[in-house]
Amino acid sequence: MRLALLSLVVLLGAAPQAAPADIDFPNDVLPQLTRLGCNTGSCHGSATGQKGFKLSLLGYDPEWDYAAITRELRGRRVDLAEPEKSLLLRKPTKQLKHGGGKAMGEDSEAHRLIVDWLRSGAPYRSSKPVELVRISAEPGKVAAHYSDNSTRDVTRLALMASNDDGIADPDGTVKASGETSIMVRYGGQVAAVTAGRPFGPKIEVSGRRNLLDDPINEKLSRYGLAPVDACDDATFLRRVTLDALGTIPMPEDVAAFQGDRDRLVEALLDRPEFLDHWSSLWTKAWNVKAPEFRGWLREHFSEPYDETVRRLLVREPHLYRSISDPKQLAEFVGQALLGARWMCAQCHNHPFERFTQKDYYGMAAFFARVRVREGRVEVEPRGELELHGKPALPPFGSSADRREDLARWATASDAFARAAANRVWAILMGRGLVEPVDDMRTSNPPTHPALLDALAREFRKDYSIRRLVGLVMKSAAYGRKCGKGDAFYASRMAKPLDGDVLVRAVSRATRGTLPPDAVLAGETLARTLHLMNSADVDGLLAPDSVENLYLRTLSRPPTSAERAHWSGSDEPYLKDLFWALLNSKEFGTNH
Amino acid sequence: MCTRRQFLVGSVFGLTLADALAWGKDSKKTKSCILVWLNGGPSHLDMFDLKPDAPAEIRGEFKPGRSSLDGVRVCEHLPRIGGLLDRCTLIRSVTSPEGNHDRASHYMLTGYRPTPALVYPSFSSVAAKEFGVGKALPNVIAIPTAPQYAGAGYLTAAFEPFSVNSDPSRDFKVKDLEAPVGEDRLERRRAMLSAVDRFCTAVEEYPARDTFLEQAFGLVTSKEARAAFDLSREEQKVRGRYGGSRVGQGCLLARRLVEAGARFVTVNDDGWDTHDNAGKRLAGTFSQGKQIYGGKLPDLDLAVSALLEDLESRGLLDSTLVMVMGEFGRTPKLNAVGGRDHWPRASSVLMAGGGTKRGQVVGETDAYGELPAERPVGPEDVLRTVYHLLGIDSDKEYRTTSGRPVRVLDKGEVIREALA
Repeated sequence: MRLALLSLVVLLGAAPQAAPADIDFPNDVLPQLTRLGCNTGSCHGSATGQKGFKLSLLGYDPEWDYAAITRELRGRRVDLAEPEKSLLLRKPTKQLKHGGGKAMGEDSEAHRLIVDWLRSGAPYRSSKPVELVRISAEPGKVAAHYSDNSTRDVTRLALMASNDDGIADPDGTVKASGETSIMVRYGGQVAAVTAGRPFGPKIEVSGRRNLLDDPINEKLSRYGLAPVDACDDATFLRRVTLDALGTIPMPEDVAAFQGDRDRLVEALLDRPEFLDHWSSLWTKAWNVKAPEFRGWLREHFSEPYDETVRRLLVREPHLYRSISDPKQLAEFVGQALLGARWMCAQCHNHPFERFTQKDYYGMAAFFARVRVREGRVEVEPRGELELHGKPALPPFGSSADRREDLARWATASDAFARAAANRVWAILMGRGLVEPVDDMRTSNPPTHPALLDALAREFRKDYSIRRLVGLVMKSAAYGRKCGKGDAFYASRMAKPLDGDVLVRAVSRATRGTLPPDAVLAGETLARTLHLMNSADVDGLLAPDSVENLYLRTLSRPPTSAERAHWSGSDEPYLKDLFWALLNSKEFGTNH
Repeated sequence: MCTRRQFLVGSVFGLTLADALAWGKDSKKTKSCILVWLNGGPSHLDMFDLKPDAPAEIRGEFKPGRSSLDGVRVCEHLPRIGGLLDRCTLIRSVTSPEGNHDRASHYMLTGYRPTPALVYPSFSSVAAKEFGVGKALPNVIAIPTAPQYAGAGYLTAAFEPFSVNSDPSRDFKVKDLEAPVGEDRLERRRAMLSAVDRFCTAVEEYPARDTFLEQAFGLVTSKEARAAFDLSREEQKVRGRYGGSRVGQGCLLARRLVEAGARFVTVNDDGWDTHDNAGKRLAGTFSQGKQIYGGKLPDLDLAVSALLEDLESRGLLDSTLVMVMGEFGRTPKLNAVGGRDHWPRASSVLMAGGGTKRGQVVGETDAYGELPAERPVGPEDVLRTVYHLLGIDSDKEYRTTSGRPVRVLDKGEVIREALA
C-alpha cells in the first residue's frame, strides 16, 4: 500500500518531501472530485445540490465542501474505520444508488487517493499545507504554483474547454489552420491558452498606417495570411461616412473627395451627426431605456468619457429611471461599463473568474440607498442589502453617497478603458477583439492582446471616443477591401446596414423622408419586403439620370459597363432602376 | 377512426361529417410544429404541477381541477386544457440549471447551454434549414415576433423566423405583402435588380439577402400565401372560440399558417414573468401602468384548447406537433409580494399531436415541486424528441461560419414515453 501510494504521489508530482499518506483536502482530494464532475452545476454543484448533498460549484469553496463531506449527515459520508464503506465512495462507484450514475471506478486513482486520505484521518490540511497561488498553462500542459514556490503538473486534473473545437481540442491538439483559445480551470483559478496553426509559411506584411496595424500585421505575418489591398476612395468615403455619421455621403461629397483619407476622417468626426450617430450606438449598446437618455448622452458625448460616466452614475437621474434595482445597477456597471458579466455571481461564485457572490452583493451595495421618487433620485441615509442574512457592504469607500466611490473606482480602472476600446473596435470592424464584447475575462482572451492594450492606452490619454474612432478609421486594417472577413483582419466583412442607418440612407438617396418606424431593423424578410413593396418607399422614387441614381444610392458613378447597360432607359425604367439600386446588396451593406 | 368526441369537436368548428372523417387518413403527412412560447417562465406549480398538499406558501392560491386523465389534475383555471389532457403528453420533470431569462431561453430553444463562443440556432431555425425557408409562404414564422434566442444563431440570417410584426388580437395586418406595382412591372424590376447585383464587385457574399429576395418575390406573387395571413377570413365564432387575447388569435393564425403549409410557427406570448401578484396576473385581470393584462391562464386555456380541437377536427393534429412551454418554472415558495421568482430546476412542458402519445404524463417532481423526483429530462431531451417527431436527425453536423462542425444536438435522448 505504501509503495502504491508513493508512486501515486510521484505521479501527481507532489513535493517529494511530503510524507506518503500526507494528503491535503483542497489540493489533492477536491481536484479529483472536480475532475470527476461531482461539483458541476448539473450535479452536486447546483444551487440546491443533489439529494441533499451540495458542493460548491467547481470547488470554489473548499471549506464548505470539506464540511459537507465530513460533517453533514453526522459524518455518515465518510467512514474512517472502513474507508471503502464511505458513502463518498460507495455512491459514485454505484455500489449504492447514485443519480449521477457510475462516476468513479473502484480501482481508479481518485478512489485510491480518497481511501488513503480517509485512512489518514481525513484531514482538511496536510502537515505542510500550501496554498495554490496561481496556475499557468500552455497547450496540453497545466502547472499549479503554490505558496512554498513548489510547482505541480496538474494537467490531468485541470478542466479544459476549447472556445472553438473545430480549431483545437481542449487538450491543445490543433486540428485546423486558425486560432482559438482554450480555457483552463483548476482549484478555483483560471487561465487561457492560445492554440493555433498558420495558414502558410511566415510572410512579410507591409501596409502600416498607424500603431494599430503593428499587432495586426505581426499576426498576419506569423500566420502566413496575406491581407487584401486597400479599398478604392469611393468605397472608403462611403464606408467612413456610414460609420461616422450613420448615413451615406451626398453626391457632392463624392465629387469633393480628393483622396486624403485622414483629413476626411477628421472632417467627418467634427460633424454634429457624428455625435447623433455615436450617442445612439452607445445608447443601444448600454440598453438604457429612459426616453430622454439618448438626448442627454448626445449632449455630453464630446466630453471625456470617464467624466460623462461619473456624471451618469452620480449626478443624473436617467440611469436610475431605467434601472432601479441595486443588483441590476451593479450588473449595468459590470456589463455596460467594465465589459464583465457579473450576473452569474448573484446566485453562486462565478465559475470562470475570481468574482464571488460577496463581490456581487458588494457592488450592488453601492446602490442600496438610491431611491427614485417621481423621477427624482434620492440617496437615503441608511438601508442595506442582505446576503445570507447579513448586511452586504461595499468593498471600499466612505463617501456619504456611495455611488461617488464606485464611479471613481470604476472609471479609473483598466477594465473601463478596455471595455470602451473593445466596443469602439467592434462597432467599426464588425467584431470585438473580445467577443462577446461585454464578456471580458481571463478565460476569454482577446484575439490581439497587444492591440487591445494599445487601444486602451491611447484611450486613457484623454478618454475621447472621437479620437479613438479616428485612430481606428485611420488604420490600414480599417481601410482594406471587403472579402470574407476574418478575425485576423486580412479583409473586411460587409455589414448589413442597421435599421436606423438604412432609413437615413433611403431618405438621403431619395431626398424624401421615410417614417422612422419603417420596418428596416435587422436582417429579416420583413425588411426585404418593406424596401421592396412598401408604398412609403415607392412613393419616394422619382426618375433621375443613370449617373445621378448611382451617385445618390451607391455613392459612386456607374462603371462604363453599367452605363452602357442602362443607356437609353426611359422614365418608368429609370424609376425602376432607382428601386433596383435601393434593393441591391451594394446599397444595403456597409462594405 | 373517428370517435364520438372528434365528431363533436368537428361540429363545434362547423365542419361536415366528411371533414371530420377525413381525420387520420394521411398519417404520413409532412410534419409541422406550433410552439406556444410562454415568455418569462410559466409557473409549473400554478398550472400543470399543482401541490395541493404542500403548505400554503408553496401551493399558492389555486386549486387543482379535474382533467380527462384519471388521477391527473391541473389548475382549476385550465379546465379546457384539462379536458383535452387525454390527447396530450405532459412532461412534469423538465430540469435545467439556467435561471436567467436569456440563458434559459437559449438552452430551452436551442438545446445547448449558452457559451460565449457561439449562439446556437433555435429549433425553429433548424426546421427552416432542414425544411427550407419556403417558396411562397415562409416555412418558419413567429407571431408577433420571435422570442430571444429563437433565431438562426450561427446559421445565416436567412433561417430567422419571419416575424409578422403585428398583434393578431388587434388590427392585425402583415405589412408590405402587396406589391405597389403590377406583376409585369414587378418582374421587370426583379430582372433589373439582378443586373445591378451582377455588376456589384464590392460585396462578395451575402447569402441571407439572396434568400430573402427570393422569398419576398414568392410571397407577394402568391395569393394563397397572402391569404394565409388574413385572419378576417375566419368565421367570428371560430375567432371567438380561440379567445380575443394575443395568444388566442396567435394560435388561430398559427393554425391557418400550418394549414397553408408552414412548418414551424411560434406563438410568442408575454406576461409570464410573474414575480409579484401571481394569483391576479394568472387568473384575474391585472393592470400595470397603461398595460392591462387579462388573466394569463383563462386566455391560454381558451387558446390552446381551441387550437387542439380545431387541429383535430381538421385532421391536422396527427401531423402537427403542439408544444406549450417557456424558459423555466417558478420558485416553489411564494415570495413576499405574492409572486414566484425564476426556477429552472423544475418545469412542465405540454406536448400534443404530431406523433406524441395521447394521455401520457412523463416524470414527476418532489413534494414541493422543487426538483424532478422521477425521470428528470433536460431541454436537450425535449428538443431531441421534437426533432425525432419532425423527422430531423439530431446528430446531423452543421458548420459554423468559421467552418467548425457542430451537431444539431450534442446531448440528449428521445423521451420514448412521449411517443405514440
